[in-house]
Amino acid sequence: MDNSADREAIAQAPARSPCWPSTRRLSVWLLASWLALTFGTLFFARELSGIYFFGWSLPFYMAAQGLSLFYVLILAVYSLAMRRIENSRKGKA
Amino acid sequence: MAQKSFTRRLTIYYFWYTMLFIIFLISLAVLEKEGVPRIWIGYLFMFATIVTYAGIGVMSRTSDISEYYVAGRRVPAVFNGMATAADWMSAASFLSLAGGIYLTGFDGLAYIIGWTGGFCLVALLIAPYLRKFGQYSIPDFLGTRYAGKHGSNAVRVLAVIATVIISFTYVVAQIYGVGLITSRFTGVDFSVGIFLGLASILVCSFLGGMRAVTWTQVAQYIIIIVAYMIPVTWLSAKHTHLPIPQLAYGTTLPALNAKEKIFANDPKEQQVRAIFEQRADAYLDKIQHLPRSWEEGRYEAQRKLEDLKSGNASLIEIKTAGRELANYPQTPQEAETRWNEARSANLARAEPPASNFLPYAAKNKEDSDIKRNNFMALVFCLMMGTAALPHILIRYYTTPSVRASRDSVFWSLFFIMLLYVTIPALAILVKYDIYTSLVGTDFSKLPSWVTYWSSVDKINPLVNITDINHDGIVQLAEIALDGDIVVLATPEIAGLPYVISGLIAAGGLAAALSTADGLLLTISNSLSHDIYYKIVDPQASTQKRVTISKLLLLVVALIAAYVASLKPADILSLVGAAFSLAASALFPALILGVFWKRANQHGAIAGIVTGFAVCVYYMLHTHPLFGGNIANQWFHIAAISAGVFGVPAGMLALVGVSMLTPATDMHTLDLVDYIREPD
Repeated sequence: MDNSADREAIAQAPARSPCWPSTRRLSVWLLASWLALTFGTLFFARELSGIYFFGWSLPFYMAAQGLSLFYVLILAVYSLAMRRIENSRKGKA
Repeated sequence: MAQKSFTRRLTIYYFWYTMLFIIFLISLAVLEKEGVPRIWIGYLFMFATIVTYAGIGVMSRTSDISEYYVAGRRVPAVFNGMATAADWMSAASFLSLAGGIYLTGFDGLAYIIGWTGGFCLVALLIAPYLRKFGQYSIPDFLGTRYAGKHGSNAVRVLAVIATVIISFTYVVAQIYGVGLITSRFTGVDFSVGIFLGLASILVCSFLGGMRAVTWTQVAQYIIIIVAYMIPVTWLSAKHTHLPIPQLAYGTTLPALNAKEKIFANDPKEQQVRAIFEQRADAYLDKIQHLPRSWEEGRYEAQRKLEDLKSGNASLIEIKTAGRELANYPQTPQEAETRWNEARSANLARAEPPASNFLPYAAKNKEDSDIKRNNFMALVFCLMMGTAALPHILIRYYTTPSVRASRDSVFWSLFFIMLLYVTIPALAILVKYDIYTSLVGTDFSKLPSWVTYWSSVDKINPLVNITDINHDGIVQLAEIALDGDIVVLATPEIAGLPYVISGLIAAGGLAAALSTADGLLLTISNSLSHDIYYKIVDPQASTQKRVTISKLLLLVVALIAAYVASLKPADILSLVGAAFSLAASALFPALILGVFWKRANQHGAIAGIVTGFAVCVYYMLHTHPLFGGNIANQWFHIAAISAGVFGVPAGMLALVGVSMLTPATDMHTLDLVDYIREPD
C-alpha cells in the first residue's frame, strides 16, 4: 500500500465511530474481570490455600491452569461479543 | 470465498505435513530398534527438521513488499494463531519453564500466568486497532499516531530504538538456545551449532520474509506441541493410570507432600544435609580468615600438585590437581565472592525439602509478603511486556480483517495455553518419578539417563548425584539438578526410546528457531521500513526496500550469532528484563494512543523516554550484575520487575506532558476514530 493512498483512506473515514461506546464498555468489563480474578487470586493465595479438590490446592490450580483457561474464555467472549456489536451496526446502517 | 478455499488448502497441507512427520518418527523408531546408534538419530532429527524449515522458506520465497512484510495480509486466524504461538514460545518456555516449576514450585508459576494473561491485553487493547491501522511495523503505528507539526519521525525513531534493543537481547538468547540444543544432542561444537541453526533461519526469513516465517512457524508449532505431549502423556499413564496429564497430575500432589514430610525427618537425609551444613561452615571460616586463608589454600594446592608429580600418582590425579590450582581464586577479593557463593549453595542444599505447592512459603509473615509482592510484580511486568513486544504485535498485521485479528488472538492464546497448562504437569510428574524411583536406588544401579546427562556438560553438569554420606544409596539431598534436565531427560525418565529424546531436541530447536525468525524479521523490518524508507529515502522503489530489508536481516543475524557465540552471561540474564523494558517503553504509548485522544507527540516522547529511563535506572541500581546493590531496592521489588515502576512512570509522563502541551490536530483525531471502528 502506498502512503498517500493510505492517508486518503484515513481522511475519508467517517469522523464518528458508532461501535466505539459499546466496544469500550465491553473492553472495560472484560479487563475488570481479568484484573480482579488474576490479582485477587494472587493477593489472597495464602488464605485460599486450605481449599483442596482432586489433589490440587486452589491457588496452585488457579496459577497452573485455572487462570490460563479463564483468559481463553475472556478472549472467546470478546471475539463473539464484538461480532454482535459489528452486526448490530450493520443492521442500523 | 478465495480466503475460504485458501484456508481449506492450508488445512490439507498441514494435515499431510503432520502425517509425514509421524511416519518419520515411526521409521526412526524402527531404525533405532535395528541398532542405529543414538548419535545418528540425533543427526537425522536435526537435519530433517532444518531442511523442512528451509524447504518451506524456499517454497514461500518472495520479493513482493506486502508478502515480505505482512505475508500478503491473508493468513487465516487459526493459522496466524499457531504461528504466533510458535513465535511466542521461546527456548526458555520449552526447556526451562518446567525446570523452574520443579525447582521453585509455586513461584515458577508466575511465568505461566504472565505469559498467558498478557494476551488479554493484546486482544482487548492493541491487536484489532493495529490491524485496522494496517501498516507494517510498531514504530510505524506509534510514529503516525503521534505525528506533530514537524512530521512523525521523533516518536518513530524512539520506537525503533526501543524495538531494536528489546528484540536484540531476546534474539541473542534464542540463538544461544539453538547452539545449546544442537551441541547437547549431536555433540557438535557450540559455535558450529549456532551457525547451523542460523543457516536455517536465514534461508527461511531471507528468502520469504514474513510469508515464509509464518508458514514455517505453523510447521514448528506442530513439532513443538507433539514433542512436548508425547513424553508427558506417557509419564502420566505410568504414574496415574490416566493418559491425560493436565487432568491427572493433581492426584500425585498429596503423595508428593507426604513424601516430602518423610524426607524432612529421615535420618539418612538429615545426615546428608548436616554434611552440607558443615561444608558451608567451613567456607564461612575461610571467609572470616581472609586473606590468610586464601594464601594458605593456594600454598596447599601448589604443594599437593608437587607431591603428586614427585610421587607415583596417575596422570589423571595430576591433571585434576593442576586444574584445581588453575581454578584457584586469583585474588582474596575473588576468593571472598566465590566462597560466599559456594557457602550459600551448600546452605541451600542443607535445607529440608520445602513444600513447593504452598504459595509464598517463607520463614515469617514479612518475608512471605515480600514474596507475594514480587510474584505479583513479575506477573504484572510479564503481562504488560507481552502486550508490548513488537515481534508478537506485528503478527496481527497479517490477518485479512479486523475480525480475523481478534479471532487470531483467541487462537494464539488457545494454542499457547495447550502447552502452558501441560508444563506444570510435566514438572510435577517428573518430580514424582524422581521421589519414588530415583531416591532410594543403589548407586551401582543408577538409571542410564543420569550417567548420560551428567557427562554432557562437564563445567556445569545438568545432573549431579554424589554419594555424600557414603552409604551407597541415593538420598534426595544428594541429587542436584539443573532446571533444563527436567524436560531434556523426561523421555528417558518415562522409559521411552531415544527417538523421543530426539523429538524433544527437535521441539526445543523449533521453539528457539521460530522465535528467532520472528525477532530478526522485526528488527530488520523496523530498520528498513521506518529508518531507511520513512526517513532516509522516501522515494525508494518497493524492490529496493525489500532488498535493503534482506541485507539488514543478514547483518543483524550475523551480529546476533557472533554475540551469542561469546556466551555472554549478562545478556542471557537480560532476557527476563526485556519484558520490563518493553512494558515501560512501549505499553503506555501503545494503549493511550488508542484509548485517549488527548495523547500527543510531546506526551509520547516524554512517556517513552521516562518509562525506559526509570526501568533502566532501577535495573542498573539494584542488579548486582550491573554493579547495583540489592539494598537499593524499592519495596523489595527485584530488578527483573522494574516495569512495575517503569510503566506508571511512563503513563504519568505521557499524560502530564500531553496536558501541558497543545491538543492533537484534526488529522490525528480522524486517525483515532478510524482505527477504533472495526471494518
